[in-house]
Amino acid sequence: MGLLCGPLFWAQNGSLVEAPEKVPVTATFKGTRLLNYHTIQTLPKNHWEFRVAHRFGDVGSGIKRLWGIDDGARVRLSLDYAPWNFLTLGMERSGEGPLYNVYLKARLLTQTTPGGIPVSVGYYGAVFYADVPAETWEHRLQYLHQLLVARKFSRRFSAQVGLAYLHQNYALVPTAPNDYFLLPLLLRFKTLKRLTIGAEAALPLWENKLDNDAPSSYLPGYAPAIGLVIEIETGGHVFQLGVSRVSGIAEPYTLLNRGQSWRFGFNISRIFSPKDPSLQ
Amino acid sequence: MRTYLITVILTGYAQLYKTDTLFISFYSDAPLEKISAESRKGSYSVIHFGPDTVYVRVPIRSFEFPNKLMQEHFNEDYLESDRYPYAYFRGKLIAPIPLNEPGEYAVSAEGDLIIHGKARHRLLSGVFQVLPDKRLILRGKFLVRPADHDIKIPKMLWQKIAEEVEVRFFGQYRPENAN
Repeated sequence: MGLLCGPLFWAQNGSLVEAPEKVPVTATFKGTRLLNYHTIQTLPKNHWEFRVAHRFGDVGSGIKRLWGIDDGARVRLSLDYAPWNFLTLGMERSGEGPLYNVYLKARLLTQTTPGGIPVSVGYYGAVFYADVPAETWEHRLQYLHQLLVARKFSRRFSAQVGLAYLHQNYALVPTAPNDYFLLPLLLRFKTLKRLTIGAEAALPLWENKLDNDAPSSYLPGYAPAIGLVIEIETGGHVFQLGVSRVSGIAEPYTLLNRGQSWRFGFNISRIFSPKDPSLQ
Repeated sequence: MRTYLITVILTGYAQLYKTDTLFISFYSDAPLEKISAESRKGSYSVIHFGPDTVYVRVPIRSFEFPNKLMQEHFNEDYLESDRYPYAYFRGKLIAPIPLNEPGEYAVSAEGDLIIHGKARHRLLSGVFQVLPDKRLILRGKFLVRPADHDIKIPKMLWQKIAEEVEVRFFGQYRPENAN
């Protein structure tokens, strides 16, 4: 470092050569979600986030249906708030049913660099209520728990692996179980300062018996969900444009994809900060 | 680090002063947005009277913004604090300070201001207040042009970030070896 060739004094006080102190990593992922799944990111204290998400129809429909865009969109609206840095609370409404949910996401451990804690760890839990005909209201409930483990490997590359447990009070089909374990994977490549490419997948930790023996199948039509996303940051907003193989917009449909349709989709996120008291 | 400092050989009237408090804040006044941030801990400075050298080191991550999104952008996109964790000033006072006479003295230092890894030769001015108990209070302000330090601001955001940012500093120095 050129700074070291100053006068003797600078070298003697040692401060230029000492290792930088361990600091918590920031911006492991750009947003609180990638395309379909939650990232390890929580909101900063007293900040609000409002999100609008759309998932269109089957891209396989081609120009005739404008790759699914003519088929209308599932819409999801989310409003999140962080009472503390380590905890984010949110409520959401999705177009399937409609489906309402509340969630909480807690940051349990934050990676530090250089050295120190190697990964960030978080927990995400949600309760879903589908506003659909059902024998009892309990049948409309679904629960999701996720353990999130993420690491920012370099300024350009972050990865996250999760363990998701989804419980549906009322099984989708008679052959389907009520409980599912999945492994959501999220990758982020920061290509330019304000542009990110992301990839995600939800891999099943259960065997779908459908392929061999249809009558005893777990979940007809099941195929692992996969998604690709581009994130563009413009100061206060983050735009996420992507294509993913999912059957809906909320986690019960994005983790448990039942179909081969790839869909265009986008998320727009706006974060609101408390006013700067020094500028009033 | 403290032991290193004590081993510095002092000759004649040379005297080493070190900060125990150093606040740095900046303010950007652009048409669409006013941004302020403040660093209240982690900064470090020594003045070696005699040779009259000044050294200041400020951790970029110590700047706190009320808007944490701005703080993230400041660190990730503008100052790139993972690559350039500190800002420095290394310079020389251009006139001696009468340390034994309490009072207020205008002071200037000439040297390198290093921000975002990019050094600029600057003349910075402030006011030194020499207190009867040997403490020194330093305060002042100067302007920094982000462009001078290779801090690129996207054209789209020029109305939100000022071309010149005002930096203010306030520090309290004490003699390091009071013998």
